Amino acid sequence: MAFNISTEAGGGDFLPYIKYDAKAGRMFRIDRTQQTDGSWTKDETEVAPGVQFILDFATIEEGWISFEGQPAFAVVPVGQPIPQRPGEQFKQGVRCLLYSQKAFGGVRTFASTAKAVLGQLDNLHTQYVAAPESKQGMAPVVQFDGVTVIKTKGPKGETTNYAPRLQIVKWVPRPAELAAVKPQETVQTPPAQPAQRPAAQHVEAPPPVAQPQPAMADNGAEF
Amino acid sequence: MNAFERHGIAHLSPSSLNSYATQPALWVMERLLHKKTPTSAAAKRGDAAEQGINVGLQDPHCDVQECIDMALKVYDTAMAFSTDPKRLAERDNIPGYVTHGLAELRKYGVPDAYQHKIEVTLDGVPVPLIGYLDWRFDRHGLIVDAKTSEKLPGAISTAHGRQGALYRHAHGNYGMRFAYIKPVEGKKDGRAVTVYELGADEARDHLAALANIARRLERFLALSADPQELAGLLVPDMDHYFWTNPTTRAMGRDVFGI
Repeated sequence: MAFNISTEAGGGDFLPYIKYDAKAGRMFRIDRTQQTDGSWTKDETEVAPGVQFILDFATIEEGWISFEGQPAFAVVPVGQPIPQRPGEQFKQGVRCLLYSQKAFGGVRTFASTAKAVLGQLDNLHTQYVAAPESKQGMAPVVQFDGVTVIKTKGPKGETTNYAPRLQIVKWVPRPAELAAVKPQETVQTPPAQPAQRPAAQHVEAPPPVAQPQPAMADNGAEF
Repeated sequence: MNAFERHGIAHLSPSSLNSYATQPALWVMERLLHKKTPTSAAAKRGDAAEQGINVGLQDPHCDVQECIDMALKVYDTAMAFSTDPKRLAERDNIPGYVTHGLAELRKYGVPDAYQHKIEVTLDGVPVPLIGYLDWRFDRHGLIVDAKTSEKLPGAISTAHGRQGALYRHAHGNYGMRFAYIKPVEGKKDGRAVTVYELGADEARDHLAALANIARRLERFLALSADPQELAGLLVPDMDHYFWTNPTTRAMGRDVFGI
């Protein structure tokens, strides 16, 4: 699923971002340039396999993200209870900061609701938490090694997605540039929505409870 | 003597508090001025369908048609002399409600209680709240309440949530589920029943809301011992569906002059 984080309004106030297209298995750096007439153009530069960047797990957030229209986020730092789903157009996802002066020109924001991506990030996060370096406040350098094909069979047939192959290759001190950024500053506050109850999920009936069998007397037992 | 007792109110209920919160003018007209408003065909349909479903739950081998026949008999008795224009249309839907309701709820087994009365005292509320839960399944630790409607909702409504919160509160750690039943299966999803479980956080919030509404109602009742004086403070919203029935509207015009 292609996604992007819109920075249409007041673009200069928001961090640039990285986009990953799970349907195509391609990663892009998105740069927005303001033209002389005031309009903004969007340039997509593909991120080639082999690129390394810092993935800031220290500030990664999870929750609900909508990419319908202007992106909207209802996210909290990982480990906190996620908020209630704001609306049906929101899907569970993560948002985080990436850093590479060489590949990205500095700090970029990244967000995804694609299962193919979330699975990879979950694996990496588990490694991050277990590593002694993370407890020392160091940041992991992650390498993008291409993609893995994920085929899923569903009611509408087989769908193909591509999961990014990511691995932690080394640890470095957390850059000051990351410390200077608060992820929540990257997105414009979504417009106020009318109060909505989050959609509920049907619950199936519980399995039948097995009735205990009456005890059988042994042949010849005396009572 | 508290304000409830002064007005002859010995107990409250979630439906009463929901009614006060939604349409206080109607609440005063019914509860303080004792104007008996007609029960809608929809409400009677729900009661009848529930009773028919209960027959089928208490006896898992009972033929569904027998359950439907029971429900129709209940409905016809309740709707005798009723001039509600939806009377026949609601009757036509009862077989569907009973059939689909049983298809889902028979999976839960035989209930341990039906229309079980609960009584709860909330902080700061001087009279108890009572209610009647539909079914309790002790082996599953569940309370199930059936709701009939022409459409399946996407979530438990606030009114239902408050009702469920009270049932849940009265039963410790039992789960509270609402089985929403419609008379025909959906064209897109083939579904006629959807069951939602009330979350613990939701239940806590709804219970707090019930106590809040009750305390506010008490303060309102404390303004005067004269129901007419209290009615004089309120204005009905005649566009609200509570006032749809012509008889109810006529009563409202008499009481409030609107």
